[in-house]
Formats: sequence, structure tokens, C-alpha cells
Amino acid sequence: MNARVLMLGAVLLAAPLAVAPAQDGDLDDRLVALTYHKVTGKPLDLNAAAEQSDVVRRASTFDRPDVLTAESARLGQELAAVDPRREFVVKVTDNISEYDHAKGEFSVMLFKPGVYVTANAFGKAYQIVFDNAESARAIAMAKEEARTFDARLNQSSRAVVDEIHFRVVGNGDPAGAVTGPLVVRATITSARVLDRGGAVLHTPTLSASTTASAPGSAPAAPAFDVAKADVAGLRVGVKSKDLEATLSRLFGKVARVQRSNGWYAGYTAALEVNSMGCMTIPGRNRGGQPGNVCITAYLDGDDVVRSVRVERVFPFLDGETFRSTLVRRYGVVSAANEGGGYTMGWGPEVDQGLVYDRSGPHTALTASYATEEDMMSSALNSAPRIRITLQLVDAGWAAAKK
Amino acid sequence: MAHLQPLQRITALLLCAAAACGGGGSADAPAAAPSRSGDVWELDSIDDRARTKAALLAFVSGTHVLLVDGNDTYAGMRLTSGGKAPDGGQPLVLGGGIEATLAPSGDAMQLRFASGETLPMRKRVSGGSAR
Repeated sequence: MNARVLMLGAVLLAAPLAVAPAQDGDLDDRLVALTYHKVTGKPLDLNAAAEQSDVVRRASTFDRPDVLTAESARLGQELAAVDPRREFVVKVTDNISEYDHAKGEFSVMLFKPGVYVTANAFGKAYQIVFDNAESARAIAMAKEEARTFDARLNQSSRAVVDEIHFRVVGNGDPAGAVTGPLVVRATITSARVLDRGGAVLHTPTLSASTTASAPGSAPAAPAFDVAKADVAGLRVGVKSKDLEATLSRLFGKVARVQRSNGWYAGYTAALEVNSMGCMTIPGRNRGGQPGNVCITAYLDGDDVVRSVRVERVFPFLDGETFRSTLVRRYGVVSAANEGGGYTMGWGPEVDQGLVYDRSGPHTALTASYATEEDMMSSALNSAPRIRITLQLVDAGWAAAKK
Repeated sequence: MAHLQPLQRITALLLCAAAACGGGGSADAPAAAPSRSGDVWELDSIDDRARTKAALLAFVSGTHVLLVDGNDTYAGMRLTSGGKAPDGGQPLVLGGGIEATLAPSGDAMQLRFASGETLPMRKRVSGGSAR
């Protein structure tokens, strides 16, 4: 019997934490993990995985190398034989929100952005997110009906069990809220919300399409198209004189900078506006102030813009506002990463040397969220300012240069 | 009601297509902002935390700083031409399905997103620049 715990992506920690206790389930964690590797093509370190197996752990020191080799080979065969279209079933203890009188609905907490189910396999935690969860989130009903439903929920402290049938379809959270090295993207094929006695409380009507925007927000953007993409209205693939004219008019003085060490090999010059104005630097009065805008555009030898980065400093805004707004603008997220800050990516992968935040994701378009604090704001314990950075790389040009 | 002659009808249809029938016209091709003409409008109340979410939406859609030159409005290199309503409001053509209208509001302007958020815009004084 496997424990199923709902977890919340770190970017959403400002929101109420939704953690449910263990519940029965017949989910085969190993098979989910193997299917994930099969579907995504992400390599599974067979030796490392085999080392976690009981048979290897129990082997004597003398026999261990042979047992490890055999177990590794067996795992490889198991991986090769996995059916990528296999359907899984999991039961998860969950709870239902209070009634939202404005929207006329309850929410199933598991299906909110940033919540995932953990599968443990090969000594690692795989985070399962459902790409059509938003379509299962709301339990809409009129107020009179809701009053009765609410009373029924209160009898069990609002606890329910979600029975979810799903398929593994890819890698990463399309909503960008769950980050990590092993994020399993799954699609719910059917689901039921049960009470503790097993009676059906609600059967969601599922959408096949991905819905990555936050509850209550506008529909997510159409599929991301790198050829038509812009960052804050700024484009790549244009002549530098056109961008320079626009920047000069909209943002002020533009400086042309010649190539320096450490730049990507294809760049020969850059256009800069207020280049250091979005960072908090001790002793500098106007660095990192809300409203500051900073732009850097890199040019190739033909004086064509091949990358543009635009930053703006804001008063404090939370990570979920950042996530939902960017998903609304650019659609389904290709990859996301949390380290010093929080970065989401869209479009094809590009060379690491082209990306402003080297920790990734290394995609044609990235959006980053970072805090800006100085000694004064830290001492006063005030909310930090937030620096949002958007970067667009001409992925077609970069691919041709390889 | 006056009826259009065939030639007038064709001309009207072409004009309507060019202006995207009231929604403002915009090609996908990027456009450079004019060097002198027009006025630059930028977000007002930049320290107002209540408007931060809308300000972020304005930033990512390129509408945090706009150049208005007659019937042309530039959000970065994204140009909207025409489509102004009688009250002066202009629906802007933006990327990613975000819809907004730039509308006069007294002596200033207001950016109104279709999703309900509104932001005051102030005219930048001559010679000013973004910080």
C-alpha cells in the first residue's frame, strides 16, 4: 500500500498549504517512473536505479557486483518493455475548499496549480502533475444545493478521496508551478471525488486540452510560437537600427557596446539602456527602484538583433502572480527551475551560453522572478522589490550557427 | 439608409480589412517607432502595490510604455494602426491573446485590459526617459 501525499510547489508557498495524509492506492511507483523515462526519453541511470533495489542491497559484498549487473540488465529489459500508453490509478486523500460565493463553486484542492502527487522509485521522488487538472478543479453548484453539499463535507472535516485514472504524457509542469528534475506530466483520463465511505460526491467533466492558467484568470495564451514571439513588445531578427530607434524613443539613451570576453561567440556588439539600473547596488541611489526598466540587446556581425533582454523592477508581487501572468501571456511552460530565483521557459532549447540565467531552463524565451533587497529594506523587514527579467533568443539563428 | 455602390462597397471592405474592422490593424512584422513625432505614455503610480499585478501584465504585453502617434500606437515594436472609436479609445493588437484598450481619461490616458484591470498612464515630459 503506497502513501500518497499532496505537495505544493515551492513558488506557491505563500498560499495555504494543501497537504493530505496517506491514503490507500495501488499505484505502482516504479512503473510510473519507468513509463516517464520511456515517454520522455530522459535517460534512467540503470546502475544507480539497480543499487536501490532490495535484491542488490541484500546481496553479500562478494556477490554484489554480479547481482548489480544482473539487476541493471533486468531493469533495462523492463524499461524497454514498458507500454507508454498504460493507464494508472491512484487514490489520494484530499479536501474541498469552502464555497466561493462569488464564483458559485467549491474547489478540489489537488487540482489547483502547484499541487502534485509524489511517486518514490529508484531512490528518487517523481512529482506527478496533471496537465488537465484545471478542468477537474471546480465543483460548480447553486447556493441552495451548495448549502447541503457543504454540510455533508463538514461531517468529514471536508476530507475526500480523489480517485484518478491517468496516463503519463511527458515532462514538466505546463503551469510552471512545480519545478524539479523529475516532474512527470500526466493527463487525467477520468476521475471521481469520493467521501470516506466510498460514495461518489462528484465526477469532474474533463477537458483534453491543457489548462495552465490560474483559477479565475483569463484563458491561457495560444501555443507559443517562437517566430512571432516578443518580450515586452521587443523582437529579435530585426535590424539593430530599428530596435535602437524604438528603444531610444520609448526608454531613453541607448549605448552601443562592443564585444567583450565571456559573450556568446556569435555576438559582436550590444545595445544597452540603463544597463545596471535594475540591480540594487550599495551606495547607488536609484538602482533597483520600482519602475526602473533595463534593456540589453545582442547583435550579430550583420547588425541584426539576436537576443533581447528586458527587465523591470516592481513593488513586491508574489510568485503565483508572476507564474499565472506569464502563463497567460505565453501559454504552456516548457520547463521551470527554482534556485536563487524562479525561472520559466518556453520554446526550443538553445545553447546554455545564450541564456541569461545559466541555471536554466535553456530555452528560447525565459522569464525570471528575483528579489531585490538592500540593507535598509532588510533591516526594516519590508517586502522586497521584485525584478522581472524577460529574455528572447533567436533560436533559429542559434541553431544554424551550430 | 444610404446604400453603397459596388465600388464604394469594395473600397469600404478593403479599408475595413486594413483596419481589422474596428479592432485596429497590425502586421506581425515588427515596426520601428518614429524618431520624433507622437507622445510617450507610461504607467503612472508605479509604487502602487494594489496595481502591481496589472502593471506586470502591462510589462509582459509591452504596454507599460506606449508611443501614440496619431492613429498609430507602438507597444515596443508592435504597431496598432487605426481602429479608434469615436471616444478616442483604441483597441491594441497585442501578443498571446491579451486584449487591451488605450482610452482617454481626462487629460491623461487609461489602459484597460479586457480581463478587467485598468491602469492610469501619464504622458512623459519631453526629454524624459524610463529610469
